[in-house]
Parts: sequence; C-alpha cells; structure tokens
Amino acid sequence: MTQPLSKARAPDLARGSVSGVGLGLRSPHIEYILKHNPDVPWFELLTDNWLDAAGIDGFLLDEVSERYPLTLHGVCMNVGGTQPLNFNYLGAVKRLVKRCNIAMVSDHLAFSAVDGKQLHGLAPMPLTGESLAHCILRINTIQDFLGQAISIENISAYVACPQSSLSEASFMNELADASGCKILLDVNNLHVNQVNLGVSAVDFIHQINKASVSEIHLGGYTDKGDFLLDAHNNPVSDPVWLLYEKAMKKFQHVPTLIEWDNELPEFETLLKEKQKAMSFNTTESGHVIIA
Amino acid sequence: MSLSLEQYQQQFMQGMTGNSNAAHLPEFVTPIKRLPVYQDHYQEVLLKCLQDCFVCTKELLGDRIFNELALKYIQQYPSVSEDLVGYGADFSIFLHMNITLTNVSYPHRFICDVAHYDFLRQGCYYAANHQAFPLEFFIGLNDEQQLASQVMKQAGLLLQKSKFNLLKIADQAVLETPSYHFYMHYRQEGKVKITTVNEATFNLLKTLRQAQPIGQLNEAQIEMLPTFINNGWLMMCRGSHDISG
Repeated sequence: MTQPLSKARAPDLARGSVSGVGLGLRSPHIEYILKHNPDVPWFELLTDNWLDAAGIDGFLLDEVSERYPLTLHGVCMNVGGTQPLNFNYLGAVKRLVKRCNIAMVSDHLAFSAVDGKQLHGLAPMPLTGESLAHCILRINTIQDFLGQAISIENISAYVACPQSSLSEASFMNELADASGCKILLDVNNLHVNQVNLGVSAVDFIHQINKASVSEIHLGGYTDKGDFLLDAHNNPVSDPVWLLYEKAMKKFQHVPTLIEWDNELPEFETLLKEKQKAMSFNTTESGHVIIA
Repeated sequence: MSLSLEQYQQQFMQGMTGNSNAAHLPEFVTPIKRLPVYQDHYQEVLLKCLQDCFVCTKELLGDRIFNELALKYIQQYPSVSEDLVGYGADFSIFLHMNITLTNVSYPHRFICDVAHYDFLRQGCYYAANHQAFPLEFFIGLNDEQQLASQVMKQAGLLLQKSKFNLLKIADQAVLETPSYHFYMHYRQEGKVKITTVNEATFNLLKTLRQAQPIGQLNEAQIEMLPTFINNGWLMMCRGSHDISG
C-alpha cells in the first residue's frame, strides 16, 4: 500500500504500528515540535528519560503523545544480564506504554548491570548457547510482563568475545524465532562493528530474517582514528547510507528512525536526514512505501 | 579456562572499574586495549550527572577541584539505579570527608551544605506532582475519623537546615551563624524555589515525611495543620479512608 507524500504522517495508523521515517524525540526540540507540528510520522522516546514523568516534563510528554505516535527505546532492561530482572523498572516501562499508547518497545542485546551496579552503557554478550538460552528466557519474561513483543537491537561493540560460537545474525534469528521478539536493526552499528571488529555488515543484512525485523535505526558515529565510536552525534555517514540502501531493498516496509542523541543540531537538520532516508523508501512515482 | 555468563559479566564490570580481580578479562574480551572505551563512557555519564546536579557546588569549587572530587566519588560510589536522578545522594557526605581546608576558599561545611542544597533542588524538580488535599471530604468526617486520617507532606517539599544563609549562595561574605536556618525547597509553576521556615514548621514537616495519623500529633502540631493544608503542603494518604475526592 502506498500513500502520497503529503499524507505520510498518518495519525490514524493502527494502534501498535508505526511506519515511514521517524525521529528521536529529544527535550530541546519539544518546544519546536509543539509549536510547528512538523510532518513526522512518529517519534521515538528514550524510555529511561521519561519513566513516571511528572511536572513540566510530564505535561510536555502528554502533549506530544496526543499528537504523534510514539515508540520507546531503552538501555536499562538488562536483557542479557544475569542479575534478576528489575520489575520496578519494567513496571515503570509498562505504565509509560499505557500512558502514551506506545506502538513499540525496544532495548538491546547486551547487559547493562552486574550485581546491582549499573554500567550505564551496553556491554557485549558472548554469543554462545548459554547466552542464547538465557536471553530467550529473559525476553519471554519481559514480554509476558509487558503484554507485548519487544524489539531487540544489535549493539555497537568495541570488543569481541572469543568465546562466541554463533554469529550475531544467527544468534538474533534464533532469539527472535524462540521468543517471538522482533529485531531492531541498527545499520550504523553494523558499520561500526565492521570497522572495529571486522564483522561483515552486508553478511549480517543477508543473514538476518526479514520477517523478524520491526525497525531500522540510522545514526552517526565519531571517527576516533583507530576505531569508530557510536556517539549518535553526527549525520548519517556515506558508508551507512550505502548499507541502508542495501537494507531497504530487503526490508522495504520496515519503519526507520533517525537517531541523534548528542550535540543536537537544529530540528530542521533532523528533518533533512529524514528526507534523505525517505528517498530510499520511495517508489519510482515518489510515493512513500508504508506497511 | 572458560567462564560462565555470570562470571564473564562480573569480570567485565570489575574491568570497567579497574578492579584487579579482573585479571582474566583479557582472555575473554578482545582487543583489551578498547576496554577504556567502556570505562570512559561510564565515567563520562556519571560525571555529567554530577555536574548537572551540583551546579552551585561546582561554581564554588571550580571545575578542576569539582571534577577531581567527582571522579573520586564515582570510583567509590558505583551507580546502583537505572535512574540517574538519585545519583549523588551521598556526595555531600563524601565532600565532608574529602575536602581539605587548603583546597577551597569557602568554609568546608558551607560547601557540604551547598552540595546538599543542589541535590535537594534536583530532587524537588523531579518529585511527584502535587496532590490536592481533599478538604471537603475531610471536613465531612466525624472527629474520630479525622483523628484517624493519615497525612503526610507533599513529595515535592524537601527540607534542609544549615548554619549558613543558603538564600544567597553567591554572597562572598559566607558566615556561619551559631544557630540553624531552616529551609524548604518547593516547586512552583515549574520552578524550584527555596524559602525559610520556622523551626516548628520544619520539625512538623520532617515528622510528616512519613504518613502520620492526625491523632498522633500533639496539640501544637494539630493547630498548625490548617495553615499547612491552605499552603498545599499536605496530602491525605490512601487507605486512611475511602477517599472519593
């Protein structure tokens, strides 16, 4: 199904889905968004910044959620962690889902806390049978609690685990098959890992199951010389646009998010990135492909 | 040597914090020279958190001394919550134990009180919304029911006492007074403000940090309640009665 570009933002989307190219919702842009109602089909919240939002923040959140479909993207579920799941945290996520009628919830294939201490970052998992079984169990529990499937993102990594016996794509395919979770494919992370660890990004795109991918992320990195840092502080780079073009040939109907978290530009810059991503999503007649 | 998933994660965390127990980590992550990417990120996140929260403290100490102390704090006080709003709860106490008089030009205790002021200000900003006191419902209760009703202070009211004037932190003439000043941090129209209160008000609000049946307050405290209710400082707790309002 296609719609003309002028109706690409579709507030009447079926609950539980988003489509087209969305943008990350960041606090410095909220005033602009509420004032100008930009033509953006959906926004993604950083979950952990909005849990139980009250006061002015809560008011702004409610205003945005009235006008735009929203998804959640967090880093604290600790999907791969071995300490017990934090049900206080998951409860807050569940409340946020209900409050804002959230279309999709995502986190990462990583661990983020150990023995009660938070890493405030995403640490890589060894891709082994033990990890796979562990993650399947955790994701089943999380999904049962939330009452919906979640999407799991492939992370950027700076170290590899020699213990790994599975490729990341195989691991994620099996994870999705066994648990019913979806895959959030971060194309920038594929490129970062290719440079940092020598893991083929194109192979990943070919191997990952098409039916499991629910969303694509695009972001910018910082070149540190001997490695790339997934800093989300720059426009999408040319190599990543090339990868995205390859990915969109396979994942035509999957919504895409432009992810820019640090050193935020003016909102118009994000709109330009969105337009560029949409150019990989259009048919020959200029219509936007929507699921 | 192989590690279980749990052991691997513990080694990784210990490696992140520079713990010598992570001696085997190089066998399980490669290249180990990139571990500082995770270490640096961890420090940067927590350092930014402290810098954003302890604005006045940083102003008084200067960036260099503040950052040195903050990094030391981060090493000794790992983050234990996904929510960073509460990180730094012990920073005021930490400063008390770690600032030497030769480092800064302000009284040691003043710096610690300002740090506490900063933390409370942030806590006030992020506190749960004000809950209206169901006055009409309360008036409709009989005497016994009113005395059994449990009240507590609003979540957004935070208390502090100090022997320094915290209403004028930027004032260069910082003098410690012999007796305490009592302060209340509160939120009004989206801004956090601070005001002085008298000792009796301070003590009653402190008592009401936890829900208390009105009947357990003394006569003088009960006489203060109407003012507290009018000021919007109190809420009635769930479960004390069937609150329909």
